[in-house]
Amino acid sequence: MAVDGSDGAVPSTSEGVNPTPDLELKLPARAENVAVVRHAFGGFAEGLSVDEQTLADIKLAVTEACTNVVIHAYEDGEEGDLEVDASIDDQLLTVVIRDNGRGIVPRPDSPGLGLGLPLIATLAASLELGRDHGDHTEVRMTFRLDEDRDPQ
Amino acid sequence: MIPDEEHVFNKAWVGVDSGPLSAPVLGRVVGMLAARADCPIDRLDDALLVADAVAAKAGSFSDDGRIRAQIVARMGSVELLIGPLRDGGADGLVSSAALPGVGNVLEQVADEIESREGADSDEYLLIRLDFDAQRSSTTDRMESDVT
Repeated sequence: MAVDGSDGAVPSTSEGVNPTPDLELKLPARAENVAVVRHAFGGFAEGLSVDEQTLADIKLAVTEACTNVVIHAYEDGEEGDLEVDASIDDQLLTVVIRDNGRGIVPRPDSPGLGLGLPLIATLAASLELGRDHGDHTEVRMTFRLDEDRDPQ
Repeated sequence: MIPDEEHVFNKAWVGVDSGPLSAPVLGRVVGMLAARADCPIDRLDDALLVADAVAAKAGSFSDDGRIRAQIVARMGSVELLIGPLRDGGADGLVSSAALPGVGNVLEQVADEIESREGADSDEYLLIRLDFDAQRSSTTDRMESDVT
């Protein structure tokens, strides 16, 4: 499934991506570690000189995706991992959030408002949901780093 | 590979290409884990110094120039396990942290520096910083988390 929120053509996020990401993070899927990932992306963007608005969008989208893993991926009491990869290819940042949980399934008892994925789709140039070759659940999103932004 | 899985409060594994991204990313992850383990400000500064030294030099001692580190926060300590490194990389990384007129930064701030061999026979460098956790409320929370 793909959600493309951009007007321009965005390369398929599943193809042509550097097999070794520029950044890999793996942490226990706990609420406190969402902040660690968010902070790490602040450092990642500092190294790339990303403009403030784009950085805010990236951090918000990554935070939403990581929060989804913490809340939804694992059964209560189950300890699992949260994996984050980020790759830069020609001003296109690809971020993959991965877990080894139960997958993206409807939850009638969901504690959230269901706004996370639509929000990510709005902020990112593209969004794909699926499973990787290791059967991990994967949220793959791309961001254009060279986009002209109108400060609001 | 964590030498001792007991009393681990939090941990993170980081892989990053050596270059402009490595120091800001590694520093933030180490800083966040140390701060949440109630590391006092002087030791937090030391932990960031270690992270910067590792980010600057570790890529030269791995086979592919990539920096890989596991950061482990325990009650009263934070550890960096850097590797896999190529043969002699652990000693080389420690030696590379020597500054003229200052001495070896890693040896001065760390409570333990040790070369370790992983299950895959690869070489790793363990750097541990000890500290007194600051807030008792958080220490209580940490103790309940690890029991």
